[in-house]
Amino acid sequence: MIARPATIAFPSAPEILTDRLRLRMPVYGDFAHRQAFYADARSVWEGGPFTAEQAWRIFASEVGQWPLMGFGPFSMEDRASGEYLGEVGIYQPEGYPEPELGWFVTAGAEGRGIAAEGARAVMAWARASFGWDHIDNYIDPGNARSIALGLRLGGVIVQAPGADPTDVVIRHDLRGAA
Amino acid sequence: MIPPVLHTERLTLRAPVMADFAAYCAFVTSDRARFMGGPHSEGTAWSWFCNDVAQWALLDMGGLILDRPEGGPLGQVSLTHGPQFPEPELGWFLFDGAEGQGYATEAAAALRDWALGPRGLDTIVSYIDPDNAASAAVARRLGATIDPNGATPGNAPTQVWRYRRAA
Repeated sequence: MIARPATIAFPSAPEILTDRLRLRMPVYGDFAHRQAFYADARSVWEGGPFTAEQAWRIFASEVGQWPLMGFGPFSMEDRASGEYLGEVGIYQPEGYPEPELGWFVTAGAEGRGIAAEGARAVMAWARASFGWDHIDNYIDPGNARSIALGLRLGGVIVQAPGADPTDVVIRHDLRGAA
Repeated sequence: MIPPVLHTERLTLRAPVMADFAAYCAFVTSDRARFMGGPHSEGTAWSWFCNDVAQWALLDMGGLILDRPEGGPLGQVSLTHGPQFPEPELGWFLFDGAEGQGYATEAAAALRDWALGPRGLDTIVSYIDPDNAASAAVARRLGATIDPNGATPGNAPTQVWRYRRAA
């Protein structure tokens, strides 16, 4: 079991740079991308499609995790162009047994390894910041793309509680991550 | 922005922290939230709680908890402007047992003054259910008046109480 940090060391997302990406605190302008994703059939594995109001509730409540828990979502930008590419981060809404590693990318950013690059950076940050020895993904069993990515990142499917009883839980060993 | 800390005669208004969620959740899941469409689920309570916090990061406004030197939190006041709201809205609620002592008026007055002062807004509103006499009385005491032409969020039967910066 991994636990939330006892003190809020990160009330806002720190900036993390990777080869191609800048990870940063979400801003209001990012919501339009999230709303578009949630309005689209691509969001079916996240429980969507959602209305604009539902999308806002989800987006904002995740951003609110930073001051409350000291971790949360990072927006991903193309380091060179500044283009918004998606989100990666650590999520723990009501009912999640542990903080969870999650991601989404815009339709135009699919198939380029963006989510993988962001997720590796967030795992290293989480290990260095909180000392967690693992972090899990909770993924709908129909979401083959995300399951494949979780496994490609070195995760293994484990029998552990997820957000939903049918979730595939993929565990990443962080002990060598940072 | 970093949320302000506002002081009133009896209260400190400060950013919510995790420890406030239990009382917040108890309110949202109770019949006392009936004028906010409740009672709601714990999941909804969590979403709202995080939302009110997140707006400080996203919109330079948000929720503040009514705290006091001893005895624990009494409720929340908020200035919020999610996409569902046509204008920034001043809202408040008190936890069970804190009613009838003027706390909502005292706290909302301080946040109104911050909104129309340091925050630089010319006008804000409160969306109040016409059956919610207690909240309408608070808005009246705070100097708000009903704006019959004000846009309302969604299709809810809501009155728009408007506050304006003093000339």
